[in-house]
Amino acid sequence: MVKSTIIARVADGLPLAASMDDEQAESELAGYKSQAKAIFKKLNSQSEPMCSIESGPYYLHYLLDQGVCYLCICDKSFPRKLAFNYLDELAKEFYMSYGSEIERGNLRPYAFIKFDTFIQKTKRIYEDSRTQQNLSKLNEDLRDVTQIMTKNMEDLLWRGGSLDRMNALSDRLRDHSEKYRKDARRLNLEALYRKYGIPAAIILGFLLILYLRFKVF
Amino acid sequence: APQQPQGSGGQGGFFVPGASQAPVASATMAAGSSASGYPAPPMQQQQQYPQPPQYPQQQQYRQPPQYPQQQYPQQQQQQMDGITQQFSQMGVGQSQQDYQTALLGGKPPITALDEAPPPIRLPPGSTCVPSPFAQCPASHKRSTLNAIPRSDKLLRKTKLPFGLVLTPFKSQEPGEAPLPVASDIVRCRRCRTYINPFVQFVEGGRRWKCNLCGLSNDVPLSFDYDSATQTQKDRWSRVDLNHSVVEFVAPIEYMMRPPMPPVYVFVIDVSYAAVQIGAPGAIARTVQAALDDIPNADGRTKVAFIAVDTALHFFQLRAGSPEPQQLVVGDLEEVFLPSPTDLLVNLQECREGISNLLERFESMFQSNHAVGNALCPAVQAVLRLLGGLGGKVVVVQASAPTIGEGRVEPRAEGKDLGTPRESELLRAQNGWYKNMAAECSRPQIAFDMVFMGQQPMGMETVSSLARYTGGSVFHYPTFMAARRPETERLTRELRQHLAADIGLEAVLRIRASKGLRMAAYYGNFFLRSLDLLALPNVTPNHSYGVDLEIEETLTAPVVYFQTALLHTTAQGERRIRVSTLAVPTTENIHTVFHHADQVAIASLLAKKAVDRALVARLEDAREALQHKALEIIAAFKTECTQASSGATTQLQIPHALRLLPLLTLASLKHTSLRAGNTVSVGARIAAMNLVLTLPPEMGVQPYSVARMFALHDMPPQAGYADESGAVVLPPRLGLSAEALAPRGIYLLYSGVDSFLWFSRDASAAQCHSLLNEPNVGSIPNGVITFPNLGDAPEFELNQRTNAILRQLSSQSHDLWSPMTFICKEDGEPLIRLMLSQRLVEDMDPSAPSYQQFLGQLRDKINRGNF
Repeated sequence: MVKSTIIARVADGLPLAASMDDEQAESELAGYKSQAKAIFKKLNSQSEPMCSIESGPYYLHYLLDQGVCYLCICDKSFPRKLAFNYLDELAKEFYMSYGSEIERGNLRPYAFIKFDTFIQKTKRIYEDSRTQQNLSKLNEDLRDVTQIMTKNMEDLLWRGGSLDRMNALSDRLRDHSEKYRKDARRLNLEALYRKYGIPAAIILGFLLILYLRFKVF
Repeated sequence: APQQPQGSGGQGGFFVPGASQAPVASATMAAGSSASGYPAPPMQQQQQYPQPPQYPQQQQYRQPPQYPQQQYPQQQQQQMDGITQQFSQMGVGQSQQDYQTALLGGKPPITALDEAPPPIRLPPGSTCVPSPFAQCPASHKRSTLNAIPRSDKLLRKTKLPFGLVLTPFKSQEPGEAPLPVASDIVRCRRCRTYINPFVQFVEGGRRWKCNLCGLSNDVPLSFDYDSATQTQKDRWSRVDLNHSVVEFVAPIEYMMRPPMPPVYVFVIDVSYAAVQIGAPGAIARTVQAALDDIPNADGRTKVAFIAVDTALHFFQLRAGSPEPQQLVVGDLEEVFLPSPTDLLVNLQECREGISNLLERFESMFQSNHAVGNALCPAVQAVLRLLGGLGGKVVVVQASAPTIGEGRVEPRAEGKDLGTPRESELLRAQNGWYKNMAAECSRPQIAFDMVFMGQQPMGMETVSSLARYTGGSVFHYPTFMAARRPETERLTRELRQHLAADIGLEAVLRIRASKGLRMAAYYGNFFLRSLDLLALPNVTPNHSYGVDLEIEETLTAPVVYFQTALLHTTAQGERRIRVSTLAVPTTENIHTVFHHADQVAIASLLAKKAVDRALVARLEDAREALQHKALEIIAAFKTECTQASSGATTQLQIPHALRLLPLLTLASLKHTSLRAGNTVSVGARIAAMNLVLTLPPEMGVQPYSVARMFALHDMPPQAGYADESGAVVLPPRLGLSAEALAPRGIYLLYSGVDSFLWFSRDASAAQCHSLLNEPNVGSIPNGVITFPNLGDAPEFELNQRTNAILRQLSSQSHDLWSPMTFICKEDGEPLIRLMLSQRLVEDMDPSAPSYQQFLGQLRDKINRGNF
């Protein structure tokens, strides 16, 4: 089922509306919601218009329409087709209600929070994927979901970042090996001292005494 | 003596005894500021001060319209203080007499209560823009001292309490412009202070200096240049530099989650005790009437109903279905919600079902004989229901909770009232409710408690729910649904309360200049961290007291207090309300006394006394209150009068504090602290809660010091609207039985209740004109709702009295709709007793009369031991 829904502006990632979730969902989804925010930051008008992103036990489905991103967090078992139908329905209604105001410059965050009422209502219709109505939606080929890209959250968030990470890793490796070489050299030296240090000192002392003796007598 | 500077510049118009030119200067200042009680905008002083020095880097930004920027060197002010000290020591100060009042033998100057607080005289050039709105109005935030001593030593010498009383979410008065709204937030990098009218621009306007910590911050580009329209902007017209009280629209960083909708849950007691007095029906009808008033601008408002007896009754409501479904949960060990959905429903969508439910509510439980109340499981259920959302919970109680961990034993209080054991009765029986309140404050759940009826309900324990979640307490001890005045009062007051524009999921933080520290807070809140007050709900008429300490000697001529209240409005907007108060400092003890705000002092002391009574003993609280008044007057005598030791026949008191004895006496005689056995525990708890939460403008008068008017002999314009539309009130009378003349009819108004006093031989014509009764004898004893008899000229007195009552009610933001007690000279003794308790100047068994009280104070001070 749909766990949470967020609607944001693509241009600057400003959230426009969101669903109010119950406590359990709130604490479980906190991490995934911040991932959603990360996605909003990465999106631009050239991004794929529809995408499903896999993350932990959930799918994050998003849909771009008229400069607005509609994103929902769903269970993995929830049919993708239904999820995109749901987002589509939200998009239509949202654009009809607030389409003219979306581009306004001085919008406050969650300016259209009253859309929550509609989100909740729609969410309940899609709650159970086995209802007759939803089954028929599944069977109708309204949207070809097979074309929709599926990505992994890890890839998405780390793309670009991974090369840097590799670089940093190898740098660190080189630094470390340098340090090890130095340490090994020092250790060897110490072992040498420990092994031959005392006999050498005794012999030296003995020689010194002999030498002094020869000198004196 | 060094040369005196021209005018009163060095002190910014402070009162200074002995300074020959001060009275003249302060007279001109007062003329400019008398209307509002705040210093006149610096514009009016323009001619007194030379033109501001021009900035060398002028091209950077435009000058403000009139910029009375002048640095007043520190030494100059110290010089002034020095002079005045010399003068006062020499005892030649002429004007010293002006600010002292001798109290003895006279009546208390009660009309002084209607005066504005002593003006805050800031040195010129304190604000960066000359704006009349730069100073914070006293109704939002007031300091007990409008001239703050520089050092802790001096403060201790005066014995005056130092603190703030603030009403952070005050609604605008009718006719006032809405608060200005700004959208971009600029804050100090170090102390996180919001930019305000008192900051200074330095380095040619490229940086601004924080007025609280002194750090220089960069001025953002957006101050002078609007990148959206690519035009120059005038920074001096910025809202946050012109207004001391500003609302900022919060950006995304200030949000943990999307702004929550308004949520109202009603938990209604339907046990036998409640049904007997008709509480469920009355509440259901009240809520029904209030459904259209509940804030619901976005159509997001949600409601739920839970009826409580020995089981929990939930009501399932479906959008589009008019039939409510009752779900009963009898297993109270492990509370669960009987349905995951449709218990908390959208008000708009389920309006029909909700109306049906409320209509049937009374008949549903009419024959309920279950004795017992499961409030604790109900609270747990509410926590589950609202866990992720938060909201306001209205709990209606008519009996003590008997089930679960938080059950309360009904205690027989009769014989313990008035004895030292009474303080025990005021202490909570268990900590369950306090812990629960703390737990509920995180998910933003607030509780309002409505206590109805005479049954012992464990109010001292249960009311913790409201106290620690920012809620309110209502108490209707004599409620019976059959009595019309009672139901009308309940309906009006609760309706007003539900309709109020509340703030949701709020936090409050107070910042002060360096060297000052917040020592303690008083009011209804949960202290989340050292200085962060969590307020799941914030009500417009709730105020908070703060104790301040001077940690290190203050060097600045002005100190600042900034309050920031982050909240979500009922319209779903996240906002920050910021208000900044500036108060000058002084080293002169006379100045401190002369600028003390007696109403704020009385309000703060009453809050502290109640707080103390709840943790320690009632006697301690009364003793502390009395001792404080004594200390202050004694300190004034030793520090500021010529007879610094030695006995005097009269009590010398600073003019600004001339009501202090009366206000102290009124607090001692008030229901919250009154000695004797006439106050029940419930009434005391309710009164204490009101004292803790009411702002000084309502808590001191009319709630503590009632207003009394003669209705039989009003000046011709009284009771009619003046040019501004406000109703003219008749002159107020002293609160003493002496004022009640024969043939008179009097009105006494204390907010929570009002009295009509009829003398034995009041004029029959006036009785007819007031209440449509032929003579005094035919007026029924007891309680009425003051009638409105229409426009007929024969009922002129009734119309005027109605107008006066409306005016009084609107002055206290319509918080109360009091019933009117008819009190005849020879009528019901109980009502006469109630009235006499409001006449605080008279002697009664628990406390001395005003004259006696003054006498006691004088004797103790003369003896020098207290």
